[in-house]
Amino acid sequence: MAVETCSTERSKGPNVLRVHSFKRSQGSGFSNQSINTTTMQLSTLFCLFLVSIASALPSPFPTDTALIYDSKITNLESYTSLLNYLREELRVPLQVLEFNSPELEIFKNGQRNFDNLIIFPTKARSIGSESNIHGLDLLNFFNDGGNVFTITSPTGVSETVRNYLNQIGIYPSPRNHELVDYFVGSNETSFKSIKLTAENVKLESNIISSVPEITYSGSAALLTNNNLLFPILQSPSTSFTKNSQESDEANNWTVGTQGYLAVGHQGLNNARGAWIGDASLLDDSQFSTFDKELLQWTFQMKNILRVTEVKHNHINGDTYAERPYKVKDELEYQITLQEFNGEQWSPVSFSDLQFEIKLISPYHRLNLSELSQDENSTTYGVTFKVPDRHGVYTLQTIYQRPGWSFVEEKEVLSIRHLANDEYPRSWDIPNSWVYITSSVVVFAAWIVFLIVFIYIKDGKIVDSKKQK
Amino acid sequence: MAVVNKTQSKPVIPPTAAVTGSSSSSTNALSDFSTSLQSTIDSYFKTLTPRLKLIDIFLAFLVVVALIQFVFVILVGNFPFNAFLGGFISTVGQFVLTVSLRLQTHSVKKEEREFEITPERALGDYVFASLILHFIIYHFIN
Amino acid sequence: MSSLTLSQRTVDNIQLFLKVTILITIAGAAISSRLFSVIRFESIIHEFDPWFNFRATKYLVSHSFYDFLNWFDDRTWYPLGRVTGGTLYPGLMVTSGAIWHALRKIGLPVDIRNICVMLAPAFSGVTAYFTYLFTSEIKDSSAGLLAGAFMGIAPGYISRSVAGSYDNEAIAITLLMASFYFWIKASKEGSVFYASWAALFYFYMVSAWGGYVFITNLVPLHVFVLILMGRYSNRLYAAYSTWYAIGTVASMQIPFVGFLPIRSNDHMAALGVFGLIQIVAFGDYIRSKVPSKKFKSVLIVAIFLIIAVGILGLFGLTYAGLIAPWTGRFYSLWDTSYAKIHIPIIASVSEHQPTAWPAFFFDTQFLIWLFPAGVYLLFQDLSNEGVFVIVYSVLCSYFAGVMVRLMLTLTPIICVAAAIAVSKLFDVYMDFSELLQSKVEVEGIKESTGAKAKKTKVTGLSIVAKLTVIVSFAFYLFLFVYHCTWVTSNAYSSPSVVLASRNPDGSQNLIDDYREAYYWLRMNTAEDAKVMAWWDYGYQIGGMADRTTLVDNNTWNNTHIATVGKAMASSEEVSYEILKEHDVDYILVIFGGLLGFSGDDLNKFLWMIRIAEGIWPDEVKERDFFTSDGQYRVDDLATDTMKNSLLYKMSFHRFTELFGHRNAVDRVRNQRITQEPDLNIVEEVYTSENWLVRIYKVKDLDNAGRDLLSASKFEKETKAGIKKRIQKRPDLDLRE
Repeated sequence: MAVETCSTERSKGPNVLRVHSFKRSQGSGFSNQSINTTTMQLSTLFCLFLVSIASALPSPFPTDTALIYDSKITNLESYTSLLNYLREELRVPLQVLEFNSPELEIFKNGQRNFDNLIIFPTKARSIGSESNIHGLDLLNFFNDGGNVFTITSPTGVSETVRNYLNQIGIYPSPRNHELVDYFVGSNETSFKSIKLTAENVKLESNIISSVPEITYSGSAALLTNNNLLFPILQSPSTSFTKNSQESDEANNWTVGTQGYLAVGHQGLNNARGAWIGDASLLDDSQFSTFDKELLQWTFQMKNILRVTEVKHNHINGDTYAERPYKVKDELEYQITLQEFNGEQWSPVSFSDLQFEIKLISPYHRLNLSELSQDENSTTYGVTFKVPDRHGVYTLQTIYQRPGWSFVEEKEVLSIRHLANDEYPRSWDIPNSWVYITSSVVVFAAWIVFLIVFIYIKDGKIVDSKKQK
Repeated sequence: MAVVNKTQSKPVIPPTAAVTGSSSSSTNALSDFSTSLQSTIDSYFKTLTPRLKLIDIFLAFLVVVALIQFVFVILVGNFPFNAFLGGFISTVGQFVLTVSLRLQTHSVKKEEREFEITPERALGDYVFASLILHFIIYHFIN
Repeated sequence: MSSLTLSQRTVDNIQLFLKVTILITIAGAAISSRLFSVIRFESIIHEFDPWFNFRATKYLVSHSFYDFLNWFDDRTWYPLGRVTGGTLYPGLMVTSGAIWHALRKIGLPVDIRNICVMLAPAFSGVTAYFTYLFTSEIKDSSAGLLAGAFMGIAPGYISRSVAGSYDNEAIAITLLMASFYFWIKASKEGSVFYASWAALFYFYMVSAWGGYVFITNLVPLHVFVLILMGRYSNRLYAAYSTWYAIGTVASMQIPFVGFLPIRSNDHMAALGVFGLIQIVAFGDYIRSKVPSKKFKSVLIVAIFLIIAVGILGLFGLTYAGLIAPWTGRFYSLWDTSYAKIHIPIIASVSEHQPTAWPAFFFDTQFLIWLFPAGVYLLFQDLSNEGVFVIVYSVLCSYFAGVMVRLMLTLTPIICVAAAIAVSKLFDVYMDFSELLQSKVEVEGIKESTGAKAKKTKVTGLSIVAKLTVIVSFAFYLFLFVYHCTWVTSNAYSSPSVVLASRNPDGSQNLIDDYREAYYWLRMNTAEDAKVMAWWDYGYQIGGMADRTTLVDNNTWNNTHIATVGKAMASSEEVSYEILKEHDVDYILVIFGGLLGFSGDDLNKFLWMIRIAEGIWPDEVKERDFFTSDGQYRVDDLATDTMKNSLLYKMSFHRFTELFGHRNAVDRVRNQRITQEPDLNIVEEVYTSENWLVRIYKVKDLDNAGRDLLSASKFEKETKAGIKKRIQKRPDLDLRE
C-alpha cells in the first residue's frame, strides 16, 4: 500500500478536538462532558448495536419527542400529515403540548425529559408553564444531546427560541418581518409568496437529497460564519426582508442571498437541530420529501456515522502491548465505519477520509483507503512509517463534513527512541573492525609483554651521567 | 645477559652560552638542540637493558598501532566514533601506563625514601591499571 | 622525666582508638544534625529536583537496569517526552538502588523513600571521613580530624545534604573529596594504584554530578602549576597520566557525557596538560642525559614550538567546529550579566545569582576568616599538596563569588584550610610536653596531638598565654557548633514543600497547601490528564501528583518553556489556542496574595514574559506589562496587557469575594484589587486552603461553535435575568 504524505486540506469542519461519542452524553444537564473512546466503550457500543438491531427502530437513538405549539397561531388540524408521519412512519413517542402547559418540562431532576423537540411559533414571549424556559435551557438541552427543531414565523418569534437560535448563530427576523421579492413572487398579487428554484437549494449540505418544490412565505435569518451551520434553503438574490409595519427601507433584516430560509446545525456532540422560517412548509399542503428528510436528519435517523473499531499494529502483526512502537517502525492503522441509513447500519464509502499522526502539528496526513466491506461496515486502512523523532504522538482520524455526524477518533501513544543496544552493534559495522582488532591486538600484546617482562633476566641499570 | 659496556668515543661539543634574542644565538640554540638530541640518543642506546628493550619495543608497537588507526580515520572518516576512540585510547592509555612502569622500575633519580615504590609493587599497580583500562575500553566499543 | 613511660605501640593504639572514636562521633553529629526536618515534619523528599531523582529511583528499583538506561519518560514535557536515560546523571539513583537491593538481600526491606531521604545524611558521614583522609595527607591526622569535624557540620554543605534533600550533591561532595584524596595520595607517592582509584572515583563522580568539570579542570591546573614551579617529577607523571587516561575513557561511558571530554572546551585543559606532561617527561628524560647549559636552549626552542602548536591547534579546532566552544553556563561564570541578556532561563534560577557577602559568613562562620590564614600557612611549606589546596582555594573562591550554588564546592576547602590553620595553632599552643617533663598537671584537652617537642623555656607566662589561646579557640569552636546547629535548624531544614509559620498565639502553623493540591490532582483527575504549570513545579507535580506535565525543572527545551510562558502571559484567545494545541487539561498556578508568600507565580511572571519574549518578541513584550512610569502594578493602575493576561486572571479570580468585594489587598505586592477579572476559557476546580495553589480546568470547545467569551457572557446574562426585548439587526460578517 503506497504511503503518501498528502497535503489535502481538511474539510471546512470546525477545529474539533473532542472525541466522537456514539452515545449522546447523558450526564448532568448543564456541563459539556466529553467521553473518551476506549476499548471498554467499544464493547458497550457493540452491545447497543445488538440491541438496536433487535428492536429495529428507525433510529438507533431514543426518540421521545415533544411538539410544542401555540394554539392561537397554529391549528393542529392542518398538520395531520406531519403528525401521522411522526407517529406512524417514524414511530416516535410523541407528546403534543401547548407552550404553557404545566406538563412541559425540558429537564426533570437534572435529566433531559425528551430527546427531540419541535417548537412551533408562539406568540408569547417565553415558553413554559411559568414562562420559565429560557434560551439557555434550550441550549443546555441541545448541549446535552437533545435535538431541537424550531420554526419561527413573522407571527411568532418567542424570546426563548430567539435567544437559543442566536447563540447557535441563526438570527431569525423578528415579528412582522417578512421575506419579500418583487421579482420572483408566486403570483402577481403577493410578493411575499416566493417560489424557490434549484439555485436556492443547498444540496451540498447533505441534508436533503433532491430539489423540492416550495413556495415560501415567512421570515428569513442571518447566519454567522459558524462552521457548524449547514444552510439548506437560501433566499433568492432579489429578495429582502422588511418590516411590514414600518416603511423603513434602510433597515432591512436580510438582503439578497445573505438571508437563509432553512438551516440545519449540528453540535460537536452530534446533537442536531434545524430551523425553518415558514410553518406552512410542514402543513398538509406542502408536506413532502423535503420535510421528511429534514425531520429524519434532525432526529438522528439519517447520515449517522459510527466507528466500530480502531486498531493499529506493526506490519507483521505485533501489537503495541507486545512490542512498543519505536521511531522508524512500520505500522498499519485501520478504522471501521458504518452508516445508519434509516433502517440498519450499513457500509459507507468515503474517498476523503484522512488519518493523521501528530505531535503538535501533523507529521503525516494520509488518505485512508478502503480495505474491505462487509454487510454492516466498511474498513479503511493505511500503512505508514513512524517519524524519526520520539515523542508522545496522537493518532487521529477526524472526519467532519456538512450533514454527516462528526467522527473523531484519537489515541495518544508514546513512541520511544532506540534503546542503546538497538543501534547497529560495532561488530556489524565494518569500519569498527579495525578498532576492535587493534584493541584486541593491544590486549594480546600486553599479555605477551607481561609474561616476557616477568621472566626476562635483566641487566643492571647504568647511570648515563656518571659516565661523563 | 652480560652488561653491555661498550666504550665509545664521546662526541666533543664546545660549550656555548645560550643567549636569547639574536639570530646567531638562535642558530646556536638550534645546533645545541640537535647535538643534545644526538647525545641523548647515544646515551640511550648505551643504557639499554633487556627489560628496557622489551618495554621500548612494546611502546613502539603501541605507537604504530595508534598511527594505523589515526591514518585510517583520516582516510575513511571517524564513524563509529566510539570505536575509534576506544581503539585509540587503548593504545594511548597502555602507552602511558607502560612509560610509568618504565620510569618507576628504571628511574635514574632516587626518590625520597618514603615514596619509593618497589618494582614488584610497580608491576602490580601496572597490571591493575591496565586491566581496568581494557575493561572500560571493551565496554566502550561494546 | 614523666612517671609514665608508654611504648610506641601503646601510643599508636591509643591514637588509633581515639581517631576511630572521634570519627564515629563526627559521623554521628553529621547525621543527626541533618535530621531536623524529618523529626519536625516527616520523612519526605524536599524541594523540586529531588522529586525527579526520587521518581527515577522508583523506576529503577521497579524495572531492570536496562529499562532504566533506556527509559523514555512520556509523563513529562508533553508531547515531546524525554529520553531520561541519556539526559540524567545516573550515579545517585544507582547508588540508592544498589543500597535498596543490598538491604533487601540481607533481609531489611527498607522503603525506597526512606532510603532516598536518608541517603544524604548517611553520605555526609562518609564525606567527613574522606575530608579527614584528605587533610591528613596535607598535614597530619590532627588537622584531619579537625577538618572532618568542620566538614561534618558546616552549613555550606548541610544546605544541600539534609535528610530529604535527595539531590546529586548529596553524593557528589563525598565523591569530590574521595577523588581529591586519592589524587593527592597518588601524586604524593607516584603510585599508579592510587591514581587508578582516583580515576575510578572520578568516574563515579562524573556519573553523579555535572559539577565534575570542576575536578576535570582543577587536577590539570594543579599539575600545570607544579610544572611551572619546576616541581615536575616522575611521580607526578605516573599519577596524572594514569588518572587522565583511565578517568577520561571511563567518563565517556556515561551516556549524558558521551564524547564531551574530547569535544568540549571545558575539558580541553585536561587534554592540554596531558600532552604537556608527556612533553615535559620527555624533556626531563633528555635533561637527565644532557648537561644543563645545553638543556636550556633545548628548553627554549621546545617551549616556543609547543606554545605555538598548542594555541594554534586549539583555535583551529574550535574554529573548524570540531571542538564545541564554551557553553553558556561557562560564559556566565566569567561575565555575570551574560546570562541575563542571552539565556534568561539560566539567569532566572535563583541558585545562579551572585553570592551576597553575608552568605559566606552564614555558611561557614569562623572558618571564613581562618580560611585565608590556612592558605597562607600552606604557602610557608609549599609542598605539592599544599599547592593543590592553594589552587583549589583561589579558583573556587572566585566561582563561589559568582554563583550561590558553587558555595557548596568552596565549603570543603574552607574546612580543610581552616583546619590546617587551627591545627597549626594548636600544634604550638597545645604543646605541653615541656610541662609534662616538669611534672605540672594540665587539664584534659579536646584532642591529643603528637606535636614535635620544642625546647622552650617554660614559664608561668607561657602557660597563661597557651591557656588563653586554647580557651578562646575552644570558645570559638563551641560557638561554631552552636551557629551550625542554629543555621541548620532554622534555615536549611525546611522541606519547602511544607511551609511553617507562626500563629498569632505563637503556635506553629503548617501550610501544607502544596501537598493538598497535588494530592487533589492525584485523586480527582484522569490518569492521563495533562497539567500545565510553570517549570518550577514540574518535578513536584510529576512526583506527588503523578500527572503528565508540559515543562519541568530540567529546562532542556527553551521553546517549550517559552510556549508555556506565552500561554500564561497572553490574552485568553491566544492562550486558548496554545492550550488546545497541547491538549492541556488543567492549569496550576501559585498565588501568594492571601498568605503573603512572595515566591508565587505573579512574582515570577517577569521571567515567564522574558523567556517568551526571547522566542516571540512581536507578540509578548515585557514593556507592556509595566505602567508608563515603569512600575509593576497589579491593581487598577495595571496595564491592559497585564489585566488581560491569563495568569493575572487566574491569580485574582474570585479574590475580591474573600474580602466582601471591598478592600481586597494582595499581601505580596501590597496593592488593592478592586475588579473581579473576567475569566472565560478556564474554570476553577480547586483552590487550596490558603489560596496558595489554584487549579483550573480548561474548558472544552463550545458545543454550538461559539467562542468561549460570548458563551460565558450569554450564561451570565441569562442568570442575571437581563432581558433583551428589542431586537436589533446584528452586525455580522458576510456569510461566505
